[in-house]
Amino acid sequence: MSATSRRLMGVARLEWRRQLAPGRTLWLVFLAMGPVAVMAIMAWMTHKFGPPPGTSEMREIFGQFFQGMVVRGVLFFGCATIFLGQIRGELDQRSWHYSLLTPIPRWQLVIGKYIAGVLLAWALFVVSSGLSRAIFQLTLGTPGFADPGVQKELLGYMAMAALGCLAYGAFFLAVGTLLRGPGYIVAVYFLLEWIQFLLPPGLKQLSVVHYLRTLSPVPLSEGPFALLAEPSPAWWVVSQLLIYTLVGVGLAVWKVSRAELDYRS
Amino acid sequence: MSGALIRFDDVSKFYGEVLGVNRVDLQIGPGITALVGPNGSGKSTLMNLMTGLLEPSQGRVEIFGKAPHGAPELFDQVGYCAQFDSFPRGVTGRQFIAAYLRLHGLSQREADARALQAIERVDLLPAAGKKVAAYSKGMRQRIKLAQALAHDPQILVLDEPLNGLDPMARAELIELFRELAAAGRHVILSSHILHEVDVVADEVVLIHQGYVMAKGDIPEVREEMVDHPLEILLRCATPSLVASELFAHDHILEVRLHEDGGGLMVKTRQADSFYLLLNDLVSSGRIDLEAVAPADDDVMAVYRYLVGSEGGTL
Repeated sequence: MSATSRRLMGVARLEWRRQLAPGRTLWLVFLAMGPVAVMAIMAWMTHKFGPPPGTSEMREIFGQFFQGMVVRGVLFFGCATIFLGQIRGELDQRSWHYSLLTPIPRWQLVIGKYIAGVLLAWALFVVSSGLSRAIFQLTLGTPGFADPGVQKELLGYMAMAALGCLAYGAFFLAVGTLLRGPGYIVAVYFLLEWIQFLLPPGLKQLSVVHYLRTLSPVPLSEGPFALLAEPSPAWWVVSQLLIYTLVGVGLAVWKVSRAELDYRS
Repeated sequence: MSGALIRFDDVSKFYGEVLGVNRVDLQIGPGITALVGPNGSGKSTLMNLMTGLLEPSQGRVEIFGKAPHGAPELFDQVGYCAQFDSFPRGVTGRQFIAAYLRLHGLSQREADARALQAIERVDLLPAAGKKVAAYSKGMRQRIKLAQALAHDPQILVLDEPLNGLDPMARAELIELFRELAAAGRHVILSSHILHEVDVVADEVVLIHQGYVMAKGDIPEVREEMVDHPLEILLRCATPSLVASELFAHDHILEVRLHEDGGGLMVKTRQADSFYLLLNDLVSSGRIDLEAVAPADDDVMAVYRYLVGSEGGTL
């Protein structure tokens, strides 16, 4: 293992220890288990009260549920908790200087923390997305897990969750690093995510929901008032999300590399 | 200064329009150096500058010939016990130290072993497995010190390291600082408690309102303060007789009876001449002295003369 990898692992390990403090873990697990619990209730109701409407309608319902509850709710608040709790969290706790006083270049501190946050977010939210889609399959009456179409859809939702964690993670890491009080920006961004279908195409580029919606395994209606943007191919959307991620992490690295220690709140 | 690993060249630091430190030229060598000044005088700013947590607004700070901000490799050689009484959440004393040791490239086993050694040095071993959040103020101070020491740095920067400690713990840590200094380490500590500094430091840097007022060992600094005559206490059984002998000499500026009646306070501008005179008077049998001691060459007096503050806690 190279010195850089060892250092990144050291930073990540420290970050996991911080993130997995009892109170935080409970909240994150609660968030991750939310969609699984909803799908479990739905499966039970289907079992109890008879078959659901039809497979294609149900798949769209799950698609909307994923965009609404999972992306805008679980991924948004889960990533806000994890990534705002990284550098901003350390600044608020006044423990950031311990990291700055180690022989690790500052860019590696940021990257190490980001990687740790992403792995934690994936472990929670990608798994819960896959699990909720798998349980949803039970509501359709026929499990059909061997069906390549079902497998593809399940993996599609997991991939969307993974990309969502990358992009939201980078956004919250950057916001937490650049701003002393990121609360207002988070609130505005949350609103933006809910009304992204009303935004003109240029502003849609700021929305993670916009990209993830394009990647949805089932086509989703955006309602009668939506301002529709030109649909883009999946590879383009994925590259856009990765660029979005790089910009966010890059901003955080830039800020931390130049910053002086400042614990004023 | 030979062996100086820390240099400040014309360093100023401003926080917006507020002065942190101004035009500091300083070289710090091995041994124990104390930064002395009241709260807000600029001690922590100097320490944050030398550990790269702050960047100078003007001038240059160097440690081992490099600017500390942006030279992370220096931190294998620098330990800093900062003023902030805060820790990562949920860690025990041992975990706290071991976790940061791992960032120095140590394996978990090595880090655990080194963490325990450092904790033992600050006499906190029984509490090593307890959560830091449950520590008393003094224990938190010691665990921070252990964290700064754990990777065996050449330069140890300690911001008010004796704060919150009981007298026994203070004595133990002062002994530890002396051991480190004797081993050739640079120990830089700050304090606003003057008698503490008098006991521990080889050199002092007196800071007031962001300016370095004086630097050196205390008697050396005191000698340079020619505006303030040296004050000497003479213990004797016949103060009036001694006073009459002393008054006959021009370099004696003032002689007054000590408040307990058992001696004299003498002020002179020429310490050497005064001590020669005393030798003559004693050896010729004209006066009899029990004790002679400088009364104002401690750091408290020096600081008082420099900034007009009363001694004790600044």
